[in-house]
This record gives sequence, structure tokens and C-alpha cells, in this order.
Amino acid sequence: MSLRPASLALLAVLAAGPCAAQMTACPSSLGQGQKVLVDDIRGVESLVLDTLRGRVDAALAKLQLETRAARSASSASAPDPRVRAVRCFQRLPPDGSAFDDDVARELNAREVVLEVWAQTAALPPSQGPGFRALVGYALVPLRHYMPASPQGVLVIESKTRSVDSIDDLLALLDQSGALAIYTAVGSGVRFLHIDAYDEARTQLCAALGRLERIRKPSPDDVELKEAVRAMAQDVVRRARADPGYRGDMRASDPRSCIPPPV
Amino acid sequence: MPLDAWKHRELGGRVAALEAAAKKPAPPPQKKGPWDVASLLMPLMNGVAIALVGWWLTGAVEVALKRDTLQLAQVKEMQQLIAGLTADKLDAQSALPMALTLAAYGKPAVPPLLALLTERFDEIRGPATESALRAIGMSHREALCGPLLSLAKARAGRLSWPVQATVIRLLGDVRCEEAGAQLRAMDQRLATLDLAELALDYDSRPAFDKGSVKELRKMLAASLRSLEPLR
Repeated sequence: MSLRPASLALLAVLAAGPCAAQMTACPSSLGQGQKVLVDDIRGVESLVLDTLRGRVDAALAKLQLETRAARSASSASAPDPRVRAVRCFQRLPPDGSAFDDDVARELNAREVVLEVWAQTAALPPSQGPGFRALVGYALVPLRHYMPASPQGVLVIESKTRSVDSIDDLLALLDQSGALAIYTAVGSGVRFLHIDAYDEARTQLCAALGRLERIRKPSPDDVELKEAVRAMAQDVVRRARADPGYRGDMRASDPRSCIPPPV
Repeated sequence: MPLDAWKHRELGGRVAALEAAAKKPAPPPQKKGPWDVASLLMPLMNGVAIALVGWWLTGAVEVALKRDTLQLAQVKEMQQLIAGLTADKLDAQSALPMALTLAAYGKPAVPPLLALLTERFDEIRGPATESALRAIGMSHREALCGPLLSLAKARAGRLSWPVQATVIRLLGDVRCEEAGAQLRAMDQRLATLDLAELALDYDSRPAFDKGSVKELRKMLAASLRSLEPLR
């Protein structure tokens, strides 16, 4: 898990707040297909969060269409790996450690590719109006299949002017296109481990493309990009080594999805 | 005084005869056999036996009553923990301590924990229940291996595959040696049957896919390894 000392201090303040963080079960995670779990955001009403889930779901659907359109140029036989957003009521992980090996294993079994949660607190008056926020992303398949990877759970600290509207909240969760990137990474890793090589390659390449387009990448972004690049190449190697594989990657260049340097 | 003399002589004779008879050694008493001894001791033995049986019966009844009372008290104490573990808003931080406290009751905690495993399995309760059952299995293997083996054989489509994976891990961790053949048979089945056929064995949620087969086979390999004798 990636978390800086300043974030730990903020986390301590948030943890002492009136609404205690709690990692409860998420029954809606049992549904079919890959999914992104949208947890509670401290201080935000449940109805607002339901609307937010709808917006996240719509954003994911749009991303899926884009990915599918990009993929259809190379292979028309690709299945549509739809990822849905699911709301987890009264669930607010205290920190990234909530996603230990056991929890990650069980969430991975339920085809959860990403879980997102956030904690916000008003800035002290000396720092002006606005909020400080900690947004957490658990890339469940990465956390499960590569437990040593520091990118399995990422917690990003940021400041925001407001958390009053759905747009504000969506912007908070989707900073630098984080939702799209992490969803694609989680989905790609999961596909890789069920031997769906073409889908894995599509998702990982989509994530890599988005990571390459970040203007000011954080150290976490840079590390994740290298990890995704290595996995995207690994997909090709695995596909070629699998005697049952009949797709396009048998003859393709492992580096083919890597976009040219900007 | 001829009459007095006669009486005197007569009395003297009689006394002498009596004294002679008294001096004659008495015939030795007839020896008593074991039956005579037994019949003599019988009343005493009866008494002792009745006392012993009474004491044993009282003790056994007392122990049984105490055991029942203890069990009832345990059930009442466990009830709170079970209610906590089945609550909808169960938090991960409290789930494990609750489950391990339940495990401290030993054998009586096995049925409720198995019910939690099979009927209320999720990402919070599942791992906590597994830890508790593992803890019980360390000291009461015999109480756990039978039920786990039954669950491992279940193929009615009522258990989800993550529950089955948990059962496989427990069989290995608790070292249920009688499970070896069953685990090998499961692995063979997973290796040979197609996905659609295997999926019928499990609840449809969560979905059973190629990843599930891989996970189950990984668990089976690990459990079979832990059942092998050390070299």
C-alpha cells in the first residue's frame, strides 16, 4: 500500500471523527460479472452516493465502449468485458490494511476488480475553504495475485473545493482518470489469470495508454505504469506458451500495444 | 443313716459322671466352606454393593446434570457471539475476535461455525470463521474432520465454490488424514471435467469460471502437500 506520512496524520484525524470507518460485508458484490465497488464517503449522504454509483457506472460503460471500439480494429471476435459499478452500503475501510490476503481473495472470487472509498475533512480555517480528502483504490486482482506489489492498494491524498455535488464527488474519485485506469488494470489482471489473454491484453493496453497520457504522473503512477507494461508483455508470452490459445497474439509483437513515447 | 449314705453315694456318682462328661474333649467344630463364608458375608456384600452403585449413580447423574447445565450456560454465552457474527453490520475488526472467542468453547462451537461458513459466507465472515474452525481443529481434530469431509463431498449446488475452497484449506491445515483420497478425487474431477459440468456442483453466485478451477486446484495441491508425511 502506498501512503505518505502526511496522509497518515490526516487518516488519524479522520479515524477519530464521529462516523467511524468500518469494513462490513458487501452483499451486492455477489452479482455476476466484473465489478467496481463504490463504498461510503464520509460525510456524504447515502442517496447522493447512490447517484454517484450511477454516474460511475455510466462512466465505466462509456470506457468499455471506447475500449471495445479500439479493440475491434484488431480483433472483431473479442467479448465485451462489461464492468459494473456496485454500491456497498455502510462500508468504509479504515485504511488499505483492510484489504488483507483473505479479504482480497474473497473479493477476487466475486470478480471485484476495483474498490473505491474516500474520507474527507474540512480544511482548517488557516488553510482557507475546502476539504482534504483521502481516496482509496483497492485493485483487488493485483492485490490477490501479486500480494507483494505496492500498487495493490493505493491511497491518494488531495484537496478539493467542495464535496457538495455529484460532479465534485466524481471528480474526487476520478482524479487523472484514476477510475478508468485502475478498473482497466484490475480487469486486465483478472482476465490474465483466467487465461482470457485477448481481453487481458486489451484492458492492460488501455490502462497503459491512459497512464502514458497523464501530464504530471505521481511516483505511484510511474510505478504502476511500469508494472502494467510488464504485465502487458507477460500476457503475450503466456498466450504463446498456452497450446490452447488460438488468438492473434501467437504472431504479434509483445511490445505492440505500447504507445510511442510522448 | 443308710438312706443318707445312699443319697450321698448316688449324688457323688452323678457328679463324677457329669465331671467326666465335662472333661471329655469336645469334638472339633466342623470346617466352613467358601459357600458358608459367602452366605455369611452376603448381607454385608449386598450392603456394600448397594452403597457403591448408589454412589456411582449419584456421581454419574451429578456429572451429567453438571454437563447439561454447563452446556446450557455455554449455549447462552455463545448465543450473543453467534448473534454478533450473523449481524448484517458485522465489522471486520470485530469479526475475528468474536469468532475466536466462539472457538474457545471448543467442540460445542463447531456446529454454529460450520453453519456460518455454509450459510452466511462473505468476505468478512468467511475468513473469520475459517480462523475459528482452524483454531478448534488444532485441539479437537476429531470433532472437525468428519463434518468437513462431508462438506467436501457436497455436490448439490448449494455451496459456493469459495466455501468449498475454505473447506479444502481447513482439511489440510487441520491435517485430516482421512481426507486424502477425497481431495485427490476432487482434483482429478477438476482436471478432467469441463467447466459447465463442474459449475453444476456449486451455487451460481459467485460465478464458477476458469479462475475458480485454478484456485480450487491450488488449494487442493497445498492441502494434499500438508497431509503428506514429513520426509
